[in-house]
Amino acid sequence: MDKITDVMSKINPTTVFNIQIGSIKIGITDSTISMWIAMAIIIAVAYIMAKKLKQMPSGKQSAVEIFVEFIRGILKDSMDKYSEVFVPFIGTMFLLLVVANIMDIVNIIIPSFNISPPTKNISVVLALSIISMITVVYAGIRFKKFSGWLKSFVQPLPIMLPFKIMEYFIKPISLTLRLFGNIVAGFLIMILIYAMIPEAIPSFASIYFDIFDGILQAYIFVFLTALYIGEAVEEED
Amino acid sequence: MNTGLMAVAASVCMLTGIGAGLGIAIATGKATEAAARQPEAAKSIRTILLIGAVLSEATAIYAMFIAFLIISKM
Repeated sequence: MDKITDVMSKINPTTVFNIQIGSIKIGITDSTISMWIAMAIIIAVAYIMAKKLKQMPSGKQSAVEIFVEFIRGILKDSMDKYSEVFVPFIGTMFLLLVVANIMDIVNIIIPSFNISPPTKNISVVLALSIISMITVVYAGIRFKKFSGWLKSFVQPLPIMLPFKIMEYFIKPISLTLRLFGNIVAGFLIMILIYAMIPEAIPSFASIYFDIFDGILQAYIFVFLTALYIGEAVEEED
Repeated sequence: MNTGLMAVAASVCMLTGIGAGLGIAIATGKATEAAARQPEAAKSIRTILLIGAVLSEATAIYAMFIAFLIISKM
């Protein structure tokens, strides 16, 4: 029984140090430090890749353009007219989630280095989902004017009102649980594989559990956010 | 509380894996049929298949979350 609680306790956040501002004590957990590392990686890569933008693209700029076209492709399926407004938000969210979910593979490259993905902490994932929902509400209010957004609650039939209100609470919960569950499941299985066969198998299993699962879950999170934004701004012709 | 009964409860909770496996298998079968019928639509069929698989797996993950909550109280 001790082994089970030992494994399960790795999901809980551990406080690393505290910052004291006046009389408020802010605890910095290891999830926060992992998010800082992810932010530093993305800012450094973005600065190096997009330093000088020319009219005729060369090597590094082509890679950035491929990525932007990929994000635009996702958005054009959901919303046609307003896709340019949301490309920066969706692109940044996608990059952040990809880097945050894949941080586990560093454990294999540098042996006995203990870093865990920040998305194993449900508070981090819930914060990202709430950001997505606030963007959906903002898109509805900005592109349809406040009265139009309120009218969309009773749009096809007035009896849909309680369902539409409930949707605004269920959507972030389902986004959270989906991302959290997938990443934590992969993380726990990797711990068990390390404990049993620490030699050659973890690298092969890590390709599926860490890299493929991390990128797929990041893509699904971003795609569903784009779908909800498209639902909020669509016009009834 | 009775530790053995809680362990059995957490295991029964994971029977929803049957639903998730069946759902993804049926979706993949229909997707390969559609791709064989019209090979030029293969790219959008692949996108639809991945989205369907992730949405179907989410229901099994809700059950796993409940199992975690039960184990943490054991």
